[in-house]
Amino acid sequence: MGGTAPPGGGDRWAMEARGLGKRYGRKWALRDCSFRLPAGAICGLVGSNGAGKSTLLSLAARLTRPTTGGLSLFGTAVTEDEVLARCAYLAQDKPLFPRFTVEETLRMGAELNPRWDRAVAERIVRSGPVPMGDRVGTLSGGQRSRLALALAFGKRPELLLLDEPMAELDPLSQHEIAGLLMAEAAEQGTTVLMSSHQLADVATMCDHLLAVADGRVRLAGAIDELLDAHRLVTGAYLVDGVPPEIARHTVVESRTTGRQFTALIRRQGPVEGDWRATEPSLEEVLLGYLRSPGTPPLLTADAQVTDEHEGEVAA
Amino acid sequence: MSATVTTGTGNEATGEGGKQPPRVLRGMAWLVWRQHRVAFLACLLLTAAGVANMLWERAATRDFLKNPRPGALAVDVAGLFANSSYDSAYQDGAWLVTCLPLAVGVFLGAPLIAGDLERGTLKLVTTQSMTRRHWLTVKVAAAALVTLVCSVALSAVYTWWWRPAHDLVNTGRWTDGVVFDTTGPMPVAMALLNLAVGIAAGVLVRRVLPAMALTFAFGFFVLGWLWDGVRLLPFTPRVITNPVEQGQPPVPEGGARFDNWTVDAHGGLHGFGTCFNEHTPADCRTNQGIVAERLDYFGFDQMNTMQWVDAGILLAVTVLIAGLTLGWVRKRSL
Repeated sequence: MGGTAPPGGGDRWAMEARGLGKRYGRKWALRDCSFRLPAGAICGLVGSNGAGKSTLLSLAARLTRPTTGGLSLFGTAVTEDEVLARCAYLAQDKPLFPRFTVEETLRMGAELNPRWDRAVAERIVRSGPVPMGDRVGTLSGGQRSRLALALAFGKRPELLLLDEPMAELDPLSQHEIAGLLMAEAAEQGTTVLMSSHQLADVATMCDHLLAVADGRVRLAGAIDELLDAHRLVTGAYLVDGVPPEIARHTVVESRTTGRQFTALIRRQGPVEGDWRATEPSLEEVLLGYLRSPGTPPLLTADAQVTDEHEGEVAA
Repeated sequence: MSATVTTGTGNEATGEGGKQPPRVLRGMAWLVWRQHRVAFLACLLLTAAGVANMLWERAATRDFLKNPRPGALAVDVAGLFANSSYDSAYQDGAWLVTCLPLAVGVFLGAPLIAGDLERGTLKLVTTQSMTRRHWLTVKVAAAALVTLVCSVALSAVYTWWWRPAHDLVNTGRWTDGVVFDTTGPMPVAMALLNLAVGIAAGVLVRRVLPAMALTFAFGFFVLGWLWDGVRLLPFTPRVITNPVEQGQPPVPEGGARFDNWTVDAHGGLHGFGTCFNEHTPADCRTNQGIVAERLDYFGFDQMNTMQWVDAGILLAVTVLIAGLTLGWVRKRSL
C-alpha cells in the first residue's frame, strides 16, 4: 500500500488535516476533520451538496481561513505564503477574464507564477485546439476548461485542487478534459484532489477517495482498500433483526426484501455461515455510508492522522 | 505534430496585426494594468484634455485680466467679467474638476474589486503564486496613483488659472464649493475619498453596477450636499463691527462674506434683517437697542489653511474607509 507515495519527510503527505473546522455564521461547513492524502494520489472528493467539499478545497487553496484546526500541504501549514506556488486551484465555474485573449491569459500565468512552464501550458492549449488570439469570452465551455487547466498545469503544481471539473461540460468535452487531466497529472506526478458528483468519473479516474457528509469525513483512503474492507452479504432472512453472524461485523446498512436479507458490512474477520459475500462496488459503499450517518467513519491506515513524528511513519 | 513545429510563434496574433508590445510591466502590475487599462487610460486622457483646455482658456483670460478696460473701476471689471465668456469658462472648468472625484469613484473605485468578485476572477488571481495581500496592494496602489495624477494635474492647472481672477470668479465668494472644493488640495482629497468609497461599495455589494450607483449617490449627496454644511464648521470667521449709522461693513478685499448681524448695546446679536422692512428703521432700531452692524467673513489669506485642514479631514476619513475595506478583503472567505 502507499506504493505511489515518494518516501521521506513532510513531502509524503500532500495534504494533512488535523481537527480542521470551518464555520460560516452559526453553521459548521466542515467540522473536526482529520485525514491524510498521500502524495501522488488521484483522490476523488465526494459527498452530497453542502457536505463541505467546496469548503475543504477553499481551505486548501487559501481562499478561506479555517475556524479551528490546521491544514498542511506537503508538510507546510496552509497559512504560509509559500504553499501558494505549490498548489493550483480550479473553481467550479472556471473563472477567467473574458476580455483577455488566450495568449494574454497564458501571459498572466507567466507573470504571476515564478515556476511557470510555458511549454506545458501552450501544449495543452494548442492540442485543443484553442486559437491563441481568441478572446476568452468567445470560447466554448470545453475550450475554457482546457485553458483553465493549461493555466493550472503551467504553474507546475504539486497538488491540483479541482472543484467539479467536469460539471457543465458536454459529454464529449468531459471525456476530453478527463483524458487531458489524467495524462498531465501522470506526466507531472501531480497529486490531484477533485470533487465530483459523478461516481463513474471517480471510479475510473481516482485511486483514492475522500467522502464527506455533514461536514465530517466518512470515508478516506485508497479505493482498493476501502472496497476490500467491505462485503456485500446476501442470505435467507430467518430471524428478526440482524442475524448474529452478521452482527459481529460493523453493519453499514441492511435491508430485507421478502425472505432475503442483504447487508453492507465492514468486515471484522471472515464472514461465517451460509452467506454469499461479494466485494461491493464503490457506489454501493459510498451510498451506504452517506445514507447511514450512524456508521462510524472509516479511514484506512494511510489516511489516518497519527500523532507520531514523520520519521517514525516513514520507517 | 503541429504543436511541436509551431513553438516560438507566440506573435502569430491573428486578430490585430503586430501586437507584441515590449514587456514594460511585469508581474501583478501587468495584470492590473491589463485588466483596468480602459478605465485608467480614459481617466488620464480626459484629464489631459481638461488640462489642455484650461491652459488654453488661461491664456485667453490672462489678456483680459491684464487689461480689462483702461482706467475702469473694479466694479466695472466685475460686471464685464460676469457678462463675458470667461465667467462661463471658469464655471466649466470648475465643473470638470468637480466631476473628477465622482468619475474616479464610479468608474475606477467601484469596479476595482467588485468586478473580480462578480466574475469570480478573484479566486483565479489569488490562487496563483502571489498572495492576496500583494494583489490588493498593487491594485489599490495603481488606482490611487492614477487618481493622484489626474486630480493633482487638474487641480494644479485650475488653481493656477483661477488665482489671478479669485475676486471675480463666483463673484469672489471662494467659500462656496464651486471654488473651495475645486482648488488647492481639495480635489485630490475628494478624489481619493471617492475612490475609497467606490472600492468599499464594491466590496460590500460585490456587484459592479449597484456599487457604481452607490458610489455615485455618495459622491452626489454626501460630498455634494452634506459637505456643504460641514466645510466651514471647523473655522472661526473674522469679525468687523461698525456703528449702525455707517451701515454694513464692506467685505475686505479678497474676503468672503460668512454672516451679517446687528448688535445691541449689550453685545447681543440679532438677525441682520432686523428692522429692515420697517417704515421707520431708525425708531425700530432705537426700540430694540441696536447700535452696531457686524460682519463675519473669512479673509483670503485664511483660504490656504482652511483647504488643507478640510483636505486633511477628508483624507483621514479616506484612510479609515480604505483601511477597514482592505483589512476585510484580506481576511474574508471567497
